[in-house]
Amino acid sequence: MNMKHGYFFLFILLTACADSSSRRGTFTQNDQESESAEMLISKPVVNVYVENSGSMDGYVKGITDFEQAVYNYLTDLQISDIADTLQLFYINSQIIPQQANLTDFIENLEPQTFRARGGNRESTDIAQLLQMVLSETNDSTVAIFVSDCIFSPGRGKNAGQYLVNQQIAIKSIFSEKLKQQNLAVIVYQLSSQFAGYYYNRENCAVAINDRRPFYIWLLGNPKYLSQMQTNIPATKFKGSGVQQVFSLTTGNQTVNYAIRLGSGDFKLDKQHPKTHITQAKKSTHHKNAGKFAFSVDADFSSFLLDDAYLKDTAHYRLNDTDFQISLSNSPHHSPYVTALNFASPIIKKSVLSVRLLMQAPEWTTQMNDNEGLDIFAPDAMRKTFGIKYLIDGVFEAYTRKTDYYTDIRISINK
Amino acid sequence: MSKLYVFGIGGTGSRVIKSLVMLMASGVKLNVDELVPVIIDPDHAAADLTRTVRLLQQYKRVRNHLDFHSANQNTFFHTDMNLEIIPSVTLPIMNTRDIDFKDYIGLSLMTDKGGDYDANYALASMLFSEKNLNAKMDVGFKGNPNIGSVVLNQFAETKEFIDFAASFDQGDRIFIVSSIFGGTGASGFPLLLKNIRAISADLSGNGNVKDAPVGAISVLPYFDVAPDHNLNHAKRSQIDSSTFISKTKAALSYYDRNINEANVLYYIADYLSKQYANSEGGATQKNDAHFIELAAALAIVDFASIPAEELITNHGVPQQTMYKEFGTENSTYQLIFNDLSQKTNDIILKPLTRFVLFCKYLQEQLSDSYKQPWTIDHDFDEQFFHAAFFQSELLAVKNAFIEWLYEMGNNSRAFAPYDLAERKSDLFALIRGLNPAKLLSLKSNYALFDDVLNDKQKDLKKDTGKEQRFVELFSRATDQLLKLKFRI
Amino acid sequence: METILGTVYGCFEFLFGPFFAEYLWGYNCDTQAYDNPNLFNSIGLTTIAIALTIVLLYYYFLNHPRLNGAGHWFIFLLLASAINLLVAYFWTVSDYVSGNIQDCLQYTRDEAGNILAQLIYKTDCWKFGMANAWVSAIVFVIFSFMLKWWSSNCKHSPTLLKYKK
Repeated sequence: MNMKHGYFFLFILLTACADSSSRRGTFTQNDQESESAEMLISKPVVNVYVENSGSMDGYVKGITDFEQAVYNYLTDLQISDIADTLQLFYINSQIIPQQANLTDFIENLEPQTFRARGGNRESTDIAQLLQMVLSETNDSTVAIFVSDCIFSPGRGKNAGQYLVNQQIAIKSIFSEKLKQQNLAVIVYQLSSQFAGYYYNRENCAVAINDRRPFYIWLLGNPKYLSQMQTNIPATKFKGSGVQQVFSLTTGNQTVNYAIRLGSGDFKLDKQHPKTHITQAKKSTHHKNAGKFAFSVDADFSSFLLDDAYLKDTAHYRLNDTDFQISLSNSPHHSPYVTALNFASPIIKKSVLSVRLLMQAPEWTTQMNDNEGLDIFAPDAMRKTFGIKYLIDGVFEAYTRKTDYYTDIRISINK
Repeated sequence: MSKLYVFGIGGTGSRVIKSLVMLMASGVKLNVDELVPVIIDPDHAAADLTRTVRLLQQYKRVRNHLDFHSANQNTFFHTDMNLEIIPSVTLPIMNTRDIDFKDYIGLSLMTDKGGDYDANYALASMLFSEKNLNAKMDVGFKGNPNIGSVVLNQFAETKEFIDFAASFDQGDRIFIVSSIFGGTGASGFPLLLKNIRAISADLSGNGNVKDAPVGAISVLPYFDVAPDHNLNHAKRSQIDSSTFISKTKAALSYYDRNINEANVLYYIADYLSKQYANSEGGATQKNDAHFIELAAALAIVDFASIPAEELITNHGVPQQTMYKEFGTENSTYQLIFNDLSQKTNDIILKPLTRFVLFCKYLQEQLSDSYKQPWTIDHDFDEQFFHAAFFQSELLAVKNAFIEWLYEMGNNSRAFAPYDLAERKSDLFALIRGLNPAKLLSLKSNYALFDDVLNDKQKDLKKDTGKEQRFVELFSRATDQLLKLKFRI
Repeated sequence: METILGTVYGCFEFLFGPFFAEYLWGYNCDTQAYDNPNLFNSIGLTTIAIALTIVLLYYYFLNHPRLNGAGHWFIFLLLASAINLLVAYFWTVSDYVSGNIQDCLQYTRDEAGNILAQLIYKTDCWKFGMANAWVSAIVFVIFSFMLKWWSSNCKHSPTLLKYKK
C-alpha cells in the first residue's frame, strides 16, 4: 500500500516537472513579447553595410573625407553608447561580415581590401542591395548603409526603363518592409575625394579624381534613428559634412501639440484645453489687429525632420484658406519645439486641419543626373545618376496610403 | 348662562364697580358668564358714576369685537357684560330733583281734617332734624342715611327693578356694594336686601330672586373730607367726616341686629385715610381710585367662585351666613405686590401685569413698531389704528386703566405696584419689588416684546376679525413675556 | 456642473483679467490642461457658505426686531461681502507670493526666455477680491429671498412688499 502511494506521488512529481518545462516554453514566448517591447527601450544592434562594389574603390584610396566621415560617425555612435553592438559588413551582391574592430575596419578601407573581400563587385543592383539590408533590419536592429547609390543598368539596357523599374522595385521593397515594422529612413548626402574609375550607365569606366557625392543611409525604428540623429546631428559629421539630408517616417501619426494660452484673444475649452478654442475673438494686439490669431506648439521630433523642413510653410496644408500660417520656435520653457502661428480675418465655428505634408526633397531633382553617361558633362561630377528615382521609390512607398505626417486639428468656437 | 348682578350703591359702589371692570379688562376671571352692573345713586351727575358708566360702555364696545371660542386664548375682557337689562346702568331714584326732603315725604300734607299737623307730622318732626327736612336730595343724602332709607324705598316700584326681576334666572347671583358711612350706601344696602328677600310675589321671576345667593360688601371709612369753613353757614357743606365713625358704629349695630338675609357678608376698612376736598356731590364729587375699592372688587370675584351648595336660601332665608374680611401681608404706606397676600397675588398679579404691559406698549412703543411683521402680516394698518375700535374704545380703556393705577398710586394708603414711568431701557423693572430674570438673549425690553409678538402672530388664524386678533396677540405675547421674564 | 461657478465669476473677469482667470480655473502650464484645482469652485463654495452663514445669522440666529429694516439687512450684506473679499484676496495672494502661480500665466516670454509682458499683478488679487464681493452680494440676495420667509422678526427685510403706515 505505502509503495503504491510512493510511486503515485513520484509520478505526480515527474508530471509536474514536465509540465513546468513546457510552461517554460510558453513562458519564453511571453517573455519574448515583453522582451521585444523592452527592446525599444533597450539598445539596438547596429549593422553597418559599406558597399564594396568596384565603383566604390575611388572613395577609399588613401585617406578621404569618405573614410573620415564614416569613421567619425561610427566612433561617435560607439561613444554615445546608443548601440548594443556594432556589426560591420561589406555588401555587394551579398553581405560579407567583417570581423575586425572599428579601427581596423576603417584602416582597411582600401581598394585592395574591397577587392579581397570578394563578392560580385561588377554591377550594382541598388534595389537588391536595399532588399538585403532591409531583410536584416528589424525592430531591434538598425542598419547603416554607405553607398554611392549609382544605378548601373548595364550595356544595351534601356536606362530610362531600368530606372523606372528600379524605382518600382524599391517602392515595393519598402512597402513590404513597412507592413512588417515601423521603419524610418534618413539619407545623408556627403562628398569626398574620389580617385578611381567612374562607371557610367553603360558600365564604361573612366578614371576621375574629383569630389563625388556619396550617401549614408540610416534605416530602422524611428526611436533609434531619433537617438542617433540627436546624438550625432548633421552638423557633427566630419569630412565634407552633410550637404543634403532627407528623412521619411510613417505618415498619419499623432503627435503632441497644444494651443498656447495667451497667444490670442480666446479661451480654452475646459475638457479639451489643448485642442479646442472657445470664445474666439479678434485680437487687439497691434501685431494681429483685426484678425483672430492663435498659436499652436507642436512636437514633430518623431518625424526626424530638420528645422528647415518644419519652418517651410509650403509643407503645411490647411483646410481653411482664410487662415494664414507662419512658423517659429516655441517659447523657451515650452515642452514643444515648433510653433505654428495662425491668423484669420474671419471667425467662424469650424475645425481647422493642418497637415504636415510628406514631400520629396527638392535636392534629389537637383542632384539627379538623368543621363549618367558623361561624368565630365557640366555639373555631372557632383550629381548622382538616378538618385531621384531611388529616393522617389522610397518616397512612394511611404506615401502609398497617406501624404501627410500628421494632422493637427484645432476646434474653433465663438 | 349664569349672571352676576352687582348693585353698586352710591359713590363707593360706582368706584368698586369701576375697579371690578378694570380687573375684568385685565383678565381676572369672574366665575360667571355675564356681569350685570347696576348703579343706584340719586346723584346723577356724580363724576364717579359718570366715569364708571362710561367705562362700562367702553368695555362692552371693546368686547363686542372679541371672540372667545375655545381656540382663542385671549383673557383680556374675558367676562361678558350685560348692559341691556338695565339701560344706562343706573336705577333711577325718582323725584329727588329740586325737591326738599320735607316735600318728598309730603310733610305739609301731614294734616288732619282741621288743617292742623297730625301725629305723622309730629313723628316726622321728631325723627328728622330741621336741616334734614330742608335738605335738597338731588345729590344724594349727604351722609344722612335716615333720609336715604325713606327715599330709596321707592326703587322696588321702578320699571327697572321689575325688569331686573324678570331677567333673573335660576343660578344667577346678586352682590351689593355699599359704604357704611355714607348717605346713599348706608341706607340703600339694607333696603335693597329687604326688597330682594321680600320681593313681591306679583313680580315675575320673584321665585329666583327671593332665594338667590346674595353677597354684600360694606366698605368702612377709608377717607376723610376736609371740614368746610365757609363762614356762610347756609352754604356750608353738610358733610362732616368727623361723624363718619359714629355713623359707622350706628350702622354696624343695625346690621348686626337686622341683617341676616345675605349669604355672605364682606367687610373692609383701613385706618389710614386721605383727605379729599369737601364736595357735597355733583361733578366735583370725584374721588381718586383707592386700593380698598380694588380689594372690594376682589370680594365680588371671591363671591362668584363660592360653590352654589354653600349659598342655599329657602323662602328668602339663607341656610347660613358667612363673614369675610380682607387683609394684606404688610401694612406699608405704599403697598406693592410683595405686601399683599399670596392669595391676592394669585388672582391679580399676572392679569394686571399683563394688561399694564399691553397698555404701556400701546402708549410707548406702538408708533415705533409699525413696520414689524406682526403689524404687516395681519394688516394692522393706518386704517385699523384710526378706526373707532382702537381710537375711541381700546385706547379709552387703556387711558382709564393707567389713570386708575396712577390714582391708586397717589392715594393714601397708596397701591403702587408698578413704576409706570416710561423707561424703554428697563421695561421689565416695572414691578416694584420683583426683579425680572436676565435672559440669555440679545433682545431686551421692547425689542423682546416685539420679538414675542412676531413669534406669536404666526399662530393667529386669519379667520377672525382684526380687532380680535390684535387683542389676542397681545394677550398671548404678554403671557409669554411674563413666563420669560418673571417665570410666572 | 463644475463650470457653473467659474462662469458666474466670468462676468467679473474684466476686473481681474483673463490670465488670473486661467489660474483660477486651474490651468497647469506643465500639462497644458486644467488639472490644477479649480479655485473658482473652492473659493466660490467658500463664499457661498460664508454668505449663507451670514444670511442665516441675520434671519435666524440674531433674528432681531430692531435689525429688521432694509438698512440693517444691507449692512449684513456688506459684512458678508467684506469677509468674502478678504477670503478671495488672501487665498490668491498667498499663491502669488509663494510662487504657486506658474510662469506661463504670469509672463509672456520670447523664444530666448526674456520677459515681454507681465500678465498677472498682485493688484489682481484685490480685484478678484472685489469680484468676489459682488458675487457674495448676489448670493446674499438670493439666499435672503429664499430663506427669509420663516424668520419671525426679519421676514419683511429687505423689502416691505405690503406696508402701509
